[in-house]
Parts: sequence; structure tokens; C-alpha cells
Amino acid sequence: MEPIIAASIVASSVIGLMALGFTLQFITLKVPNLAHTTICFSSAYMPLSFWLFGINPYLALPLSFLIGSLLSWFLYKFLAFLRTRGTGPVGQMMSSLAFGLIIYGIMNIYADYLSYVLKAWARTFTLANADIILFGEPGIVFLSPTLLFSLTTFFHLLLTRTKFGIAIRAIVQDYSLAATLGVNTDRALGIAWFIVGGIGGLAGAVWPFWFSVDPWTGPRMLSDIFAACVVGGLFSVYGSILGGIIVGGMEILLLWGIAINVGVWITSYRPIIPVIIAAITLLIFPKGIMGSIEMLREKRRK
Amino acid sequence: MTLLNISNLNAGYSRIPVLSDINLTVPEKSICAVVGPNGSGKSTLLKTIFGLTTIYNGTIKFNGKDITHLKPYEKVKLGMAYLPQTGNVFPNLTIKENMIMAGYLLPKKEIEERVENILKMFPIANIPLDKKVLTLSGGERQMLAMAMSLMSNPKIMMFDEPSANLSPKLAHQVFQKIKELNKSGITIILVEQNVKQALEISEIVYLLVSGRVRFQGESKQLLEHPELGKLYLGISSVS
Repeated sequence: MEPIIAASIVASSVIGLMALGFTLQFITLKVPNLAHTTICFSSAYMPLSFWLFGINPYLALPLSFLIGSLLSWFLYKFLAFLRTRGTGPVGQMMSSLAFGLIIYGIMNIYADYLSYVLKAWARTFTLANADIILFGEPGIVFLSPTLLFSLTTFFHLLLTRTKFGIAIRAIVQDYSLAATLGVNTDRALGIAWFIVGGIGGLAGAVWPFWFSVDPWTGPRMLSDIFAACVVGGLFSVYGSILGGIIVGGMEILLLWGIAINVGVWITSYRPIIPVIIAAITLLIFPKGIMGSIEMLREKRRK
Repeated sequence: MTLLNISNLNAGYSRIPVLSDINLTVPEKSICAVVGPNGSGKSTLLKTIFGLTTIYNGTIKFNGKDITHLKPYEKVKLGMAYLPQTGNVFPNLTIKENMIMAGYLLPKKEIEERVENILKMFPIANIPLDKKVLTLSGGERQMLAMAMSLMSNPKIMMFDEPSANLSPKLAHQVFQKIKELNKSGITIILVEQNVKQALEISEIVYLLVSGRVRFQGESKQLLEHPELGKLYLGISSVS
């Protein structure tokens, strides 16, 4: 397989998974969680640590899930606490940014620890050499889309077939009504944030198997995730997954296409690409892809 | 026997006070109407009983238990149900999903049994359960909301203007249903703009004016009161 195709498969899958979490967190608290990508990539250091200790880095994935889950759950509790104290959406958003910066600081400390104490190349690293080979291709090329497909299916079944999932959809529509019907809204949202944080943690942990990671990767990726959510439709979990696939894939393929024609220097402008994709999408579909589909459905219904 | 007892309650939204020094007693298996002009705090009273506002002081007791600071889901567990005036169903969920939400605290098997049994009591039983609620009419939604509030098998139901935005025929149906529910042993608190109908079906009434109880007593007494009905409710006394 062409490396550029493999790279776009990995990027699409990972950004799709991260966008799922960002959107769910946004529609539940109505606050963009600016720490989401930092939380996702905080778990990327787990596979590296396992590898440094001679353990297969893939075995770190459950732990990566747990790190993402716990950080996300903790942030939810913190934001929910702020909300009960009367902090508005902007205050909560800035608090999530501060939370992300704290995690960024901790990641730097851990990276320095690995660099200075274990003499490992940890400030910027990739685990491409540690990957397994399946059918002549790196394992991550198969694992990342498998994760996207299976976790999306899991999430869909959770939302549509379980009482808990229906409660999450109900809370998103009307928080007060869900509470008056007996749903422990705080606990339900805490669990939802735990799950999507874990999914984000998994996504962040598989990223270094193809791309390089450093402590700033998370904040840098925020524009990709935001673009994915805008492209898909900011209020649709499924739309954001679709947006992630489009943005992740197109970012790699477009950058490659432009670079071979214009020159490699253009790769420095990579973060602009998702923003351009989002801007063009908004011109064509002002409510994102899923929002436009929903509008069409609404028209037909009328 | 008193089912709900409120003493010296002061409450509002965050730092904005709405209710002042409310004392209210609801006997078991009765229908208690709460009436008053717009902005008098009727809806806030129900929200406060259900734990959706800020309580500054005072106590709310249900069945002898202090529930002043319990969370809404804990009140549902005790047997309380609240039907808001608007937004009392989830439009983007199906009828069945709405009913599942209404029985959230029940075991799965019991939910399945109760969904069909309860819907049979309302004139929406013939609508497919997988239909999205946003496709239902206003009256059908109100019936669904009432059905939903029965899912948790409540001892007390609090209705916030259940006849609002309904045609007179549908509003009549809703009041009939409330009477039926009361006959089956459920205590009702009814906040209503349609004062005459509310007073006709209720036994006791509280008149709220500017967040304070201005009158309490039998519904008949308010209907016959020479001034209050005319002054605050736009009704002439029945002679």
C-alpha cells in the first residue's frame, strides 16, 4: 500500500474517533472542551513507556483508554462543579483550556523524565519501528480503521439500544426534563465523558504508531478536530465521525498533492488545511453535512 | 393524612427570589389547585417542590420525610412525578424511548410491561411506538406526557398548566384524565390558568399573588369569594 494512503487511513480513523468525543462533550455541556485533544494525546506516552520497558506497546492500549477516561471524567466533574457555582460557558471553556495546559505541563515533565533519566528519545517520538507487520503492512493500518468501525458501532448500539444511551440522548435534548423523569443526569454525563475520554485516549495512543508525537501534538490537533466537527455538523456525533474521516484523509492527501507540486516547504502550513476544508464546507453546507441532511429530512417531512 | 407539607418556604432562581414564605399542605388522594395571575410564581412553586430552583430557607416534607434538598431523581424514587408546562416530552426520541425514559428507575422487564399497559389508558395507544414524538400533534404530546408521568408509579403528580395550548375539547379530555388518575389514588397538584375548570375538579386551592399565598381553602370558597376571584383570576363569584 502507498504510504500516503496508509497515512490518510490512520489520520482519518484517529481524527474520527477524537471528533466523536469532542462533539459528545460539546452537546452535553454546551461547552467546547479545549482540553480534549490534549487528554487524547496524554495517553500516547503509555505505548512509548511500555516499549522502553521491552513490552509490546499495543499492550498499553487498555491503560491508555483508562488514562483518557479518568482525565475526561475528572474534567467533567470539575466543569459540572463550576456550572453549579454559576460559571458560564465561556468560563467553563477557559477552565478546560487551563486543564489542558496543566496536562501539557505534566506531559512535558514525563517526557523530560524519560529523556534525562532513561536516556530515551521522548520529547518527539514515533513508534513506527515498534509496530507489528500484518500482511506485509504495519499493523496500525488495520488497527486504526478497525478501532473506528468497532467503537462507532459500539457507541451507536450504546446510544440506541440501551437505557443509558437513550438517557444520554434525552439529556442532550432536555437536561431538566431528563432529571425530572428520574435520570441521575450528573452520573450519566460523567459516564458518557468517561467513555468518550477513553475512546479519545485509545485514538491518541495509536497515533504514534504512524505519526510523530510530542507534548504539543494535542493542542496542535485541536484545529483538526474542530474542523472535523464543523464539517460533519457540530451537533451530530455521527456527523463528527464522518467529518473526522473527511478532514483526516483530505488533510494528508491534499498536503501531499500540494507538496509534490509546490515544494516540501508547504508542509509547514499543514494546520491551515483543516480550517480551509471547514470554511469551504460551511459555504456549501452551513450546518455541516449531517445538519444539511437533517434539514432535507425536515423539508420532506413537511 | 398529609402527603406534602411545605413550611415557610423561600425560593427563587439563583439570587432572584420568587416565592416568599409559602406554607402549603396537600392531603393524600386529593386534588389541590394552585392558581394565580401570570408571574405569581405558580410554576416556580412546582419546580421548587421538585428541586429545580434554589431554596433559600424553609422545608418541604413528603410523606413525613424531609425532601427539601433532595435531587429530582431522588424525588422520583420516592414517588413524585412532575409534568412541566412545555418541553414535557423529548421530540427527537420515539414514543417508546420517551416511555423508557419516564420509567428510567424501573427494571427493564417492568418497563416493557408498563409501557403497553399505561399507553392503553390514553387515546394514543394506536400510534406505533417507534414513531418520533416530533410528528405527534400537541394534544397527542400532552397525552404522551401524562402517560410518561405514570410510568414511575407515582404517589403524587404535579401538573403545570396541562391544558395550555390545547383546544377546549382536548383540554376537557385532559381534565377528565386527571380526575381519573385521582380516583385511582394518586394525589394531584394542579397549576392551571384555566381557573374555573381547575376549581371545579379540585378540592382545595391556593391562590398565589406575587410569590405569596393570598388565599387558601376549599375550591368552592374561592369560587364564591366576592373579591378575590374577580380581582386576580378574572372570574365572577358564583351566587
